[in-house]
Amino acid sequence: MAATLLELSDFSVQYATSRGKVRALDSVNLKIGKEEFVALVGESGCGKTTLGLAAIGLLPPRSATIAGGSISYKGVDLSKLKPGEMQNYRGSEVAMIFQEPLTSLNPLRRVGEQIAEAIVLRIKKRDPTSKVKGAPRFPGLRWKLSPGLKSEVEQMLTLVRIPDPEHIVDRYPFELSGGMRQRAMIAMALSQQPELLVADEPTTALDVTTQAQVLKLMKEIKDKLGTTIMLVTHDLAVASQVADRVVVMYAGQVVEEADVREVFSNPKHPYTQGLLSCIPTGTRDGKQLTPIKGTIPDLTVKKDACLFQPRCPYAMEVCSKKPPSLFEVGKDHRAACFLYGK
Amino acid sequence: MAVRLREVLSLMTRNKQSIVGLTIVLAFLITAILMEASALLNVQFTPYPANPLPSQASPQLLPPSLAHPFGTDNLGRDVLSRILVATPYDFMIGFAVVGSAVFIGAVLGGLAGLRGGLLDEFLMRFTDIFFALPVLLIAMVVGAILGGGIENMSLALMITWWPSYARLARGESLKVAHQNYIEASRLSGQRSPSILFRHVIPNISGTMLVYATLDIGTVILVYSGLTFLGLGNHPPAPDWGQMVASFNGYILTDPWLALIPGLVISFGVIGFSLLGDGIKDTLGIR
Amino acid sequence: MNLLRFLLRRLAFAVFVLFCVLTLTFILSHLIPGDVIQAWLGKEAALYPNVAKAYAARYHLTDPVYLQYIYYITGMLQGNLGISPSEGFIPVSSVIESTLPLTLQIVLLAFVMCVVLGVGLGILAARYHNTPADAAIRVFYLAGYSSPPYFIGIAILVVASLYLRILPTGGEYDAVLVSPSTSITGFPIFDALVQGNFSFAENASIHLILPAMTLALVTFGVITRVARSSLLDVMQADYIRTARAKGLDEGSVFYRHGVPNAAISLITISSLVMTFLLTGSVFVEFLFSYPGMGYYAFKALQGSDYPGIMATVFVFAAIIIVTNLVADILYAYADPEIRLG
Repeated sequence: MAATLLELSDFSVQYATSRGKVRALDSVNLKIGKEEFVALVGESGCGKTTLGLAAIGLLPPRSATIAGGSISYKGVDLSKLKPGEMQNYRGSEVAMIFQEPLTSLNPLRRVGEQIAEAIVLRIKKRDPTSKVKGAPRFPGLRWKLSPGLKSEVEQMLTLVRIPDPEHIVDRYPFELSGGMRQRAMIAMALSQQPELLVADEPTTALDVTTQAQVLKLMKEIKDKLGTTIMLVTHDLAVASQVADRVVVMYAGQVVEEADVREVFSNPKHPYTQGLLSCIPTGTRDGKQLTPIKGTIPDLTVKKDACLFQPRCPYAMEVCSKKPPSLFEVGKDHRAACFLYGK
Repeated sequence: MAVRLREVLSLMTRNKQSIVGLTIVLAFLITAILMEASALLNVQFTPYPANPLPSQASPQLLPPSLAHPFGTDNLGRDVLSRILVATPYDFMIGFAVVGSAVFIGAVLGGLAGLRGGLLDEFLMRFTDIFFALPVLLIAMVVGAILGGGIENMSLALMITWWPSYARLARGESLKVAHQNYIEASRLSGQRSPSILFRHVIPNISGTMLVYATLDIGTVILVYSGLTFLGLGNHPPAPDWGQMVASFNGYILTDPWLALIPGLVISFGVIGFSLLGDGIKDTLGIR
Repeated sequence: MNLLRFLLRRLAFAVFVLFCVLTLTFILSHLIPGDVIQAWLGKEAALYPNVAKAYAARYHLTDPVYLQYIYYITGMLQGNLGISPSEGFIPVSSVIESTLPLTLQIVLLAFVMCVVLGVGLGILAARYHNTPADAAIRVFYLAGYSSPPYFIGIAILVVASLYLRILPTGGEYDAVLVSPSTSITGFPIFDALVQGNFSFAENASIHLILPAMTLALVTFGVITRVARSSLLDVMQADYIRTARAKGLDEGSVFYRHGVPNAAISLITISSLVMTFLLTGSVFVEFLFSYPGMGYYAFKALQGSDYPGIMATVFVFAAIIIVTNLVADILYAYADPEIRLG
């Protein structure tokens, strides 16, 4: 396997809420290697977004606490970073794009200015003494980009295949379509040449055609630039289109991990199997969709058992006695289920 | 989100800020009721008479002391007693004006939001005009025409106070008007006024109450300004603002005369501000 | 071009409102009980019946109402506002001419103080929100806007003049100085500066400080409250998270993305601020014996000077309407969705 870029070791995160402490992530073990395209898949509330935020150090400081374990990037424990180091880390090593591109871009700033801000950050981080002209001192004024900066912005826009970049530079986010906004966000994220790109449901707000285009773009980025991509999504179909490896999460834990083809042809964990039978196949073979019965567990309660057990058609006695660890079930294929180990 | 009336009442005690505010407001309220009762029953509840005869008066211009906690004025009248006696007018006018403004505003604005169309347009333009006119100035003009006195000033304030409530009610009513139960009521034949009173108004009253609470303090402030300008009760009946104005000449020699009534006014208004802000915080309204 | 249409609509509306205000003052002036001539001329009218008759003829006071209305409107638009009994029967327009600039001097200074204080404290309160500093700021502005302007003014007078003895207790300027002879801008201070009369300019400016400060203390609370809450809202927005994800430092996130986006909501309350300042000026000018339009309004009220009252109400309303219009223009410029259609 390629060198490990991001490593989570027994990583647990809790949120303080009015109902009590919610265990968003519970002893997660995960390794993401260089130039991998990993999809984190699971339903709402499974902790995949929390994992993504943790990778870029954007867990809400007031409510989230790391309850155990560690998350490391290139061997450096992220929780030990000082604020200044964290700011350096964000954007330049790990970048993130979000689900809603309209609200994730500053509505009062031109697209070009926002991308230029990222480019200037890249330059300043590499060379703090650089005299490159940043945004104007008075934040409300328009930033007239220098020709060099402007052409760099246009290059980034071309990279993400936005048509007519010279004019897009001066447009505001509300003037672009959803797909173009997302591309602009990707351009902004790539401006600092990060090694890891975390994408949190980037296509959920887009229509199916645009979705396919953006996913294709992301795959291109991985191939051309060698960027490692961690895609967070609830949609298995999306994962199947672009990912190399799929990590299935449930209730804050990793339940299955495998090559994308393996997961789809040979799912081992009952939850994964349930998810796959939920996907409408688009064929008229008369089979009914079988939803998974039951609901996700209450994450405020710590259980010393398999969290999926109440909904599992194969539940055994041992499942309610202790939590399963990730057992090897094939080549680079792991599943957390007592069907495959003790 | 439409907030129900009953919930808001219990919300008034939910956080520290609103409890302090509520305490202050209740203190003034009880005083006002007591003073009103004393006037009706012809019993004196104040330590000294508010309008004593020269023979009953205490020495003039005494600084605050145990006998006269707020001192005496240039006519030997006990300042504390005069402030107490003025409470029913200066304080309760807040309730009267805001109450009527809320009612008028709720009906007009609620109807406009519910019906939409021409009525709505007309209301919006009409209230727009009102927003350009400072309340104080209109009240001044009305005062100049009709003369002063609490009844005239109340009228003047009631006329100019309702537009912002109409706007608020319209906004809230618009949110409510699209709900399904409104549609259902209409389809079952209910006419607008009935829908308005049965469904719309109960749902918007909560939000309006929050703004009203903050606003009562503002009315007290404006009215004190009017009395300052001489438009309040005719002397010798006391009014807080009027007291401050009449003691303007004594600022350098006996500052407490002008400062104390001003402090009382501020206190009363702060009480409502705290209460209103507290409720706002509890409900999470901006 | 949507922008142009939008602005033209706002302008047309402003003119319409102004017109309505004029009509309103006309209606009100004809509701004055008693003899119209007496009302407009004051009590002396009875003593000089010939003058009263001439006056009535000149101002068409005996014509049918609709004619009076037309004369009223045309007169107003030409600057003919009648004559003022409380000021010795000189034309109201000349009274306004001499008093309005003075009031504007105070109001503008107060506006600047208000904005600086209000926005500054609002930003601080948002940055350190839920800390004691935030609570302290809240108490400060709560006390400010809950207190009547004259109370704050008196308190300031007492403190500044009695105990500190550094600032003057009132008046426009010390009597020993000479005011500027010719009026170029209409504003005494600017006239003095232009003519090189620096001692006057300085002295008159010092006299502005206390009244303006009083007004500012009463009004800044509104700005602080809006600034604080809109800043807090903005900082929850998604694009703030994006800015952090870029690796931008917290300070830049706050000042480059948070503050400008929150500032827009301040534009919408500027006419409210102006309303507070103008109505407050009536009290403040009285307290500090500052001969501006607020003081004139007060004297007119006391003296039952109806032309004076109507005129001041009209001018105040006009200022507010203009402020509204300017705010609309600024907002349209600041919000790209309106600006670019």
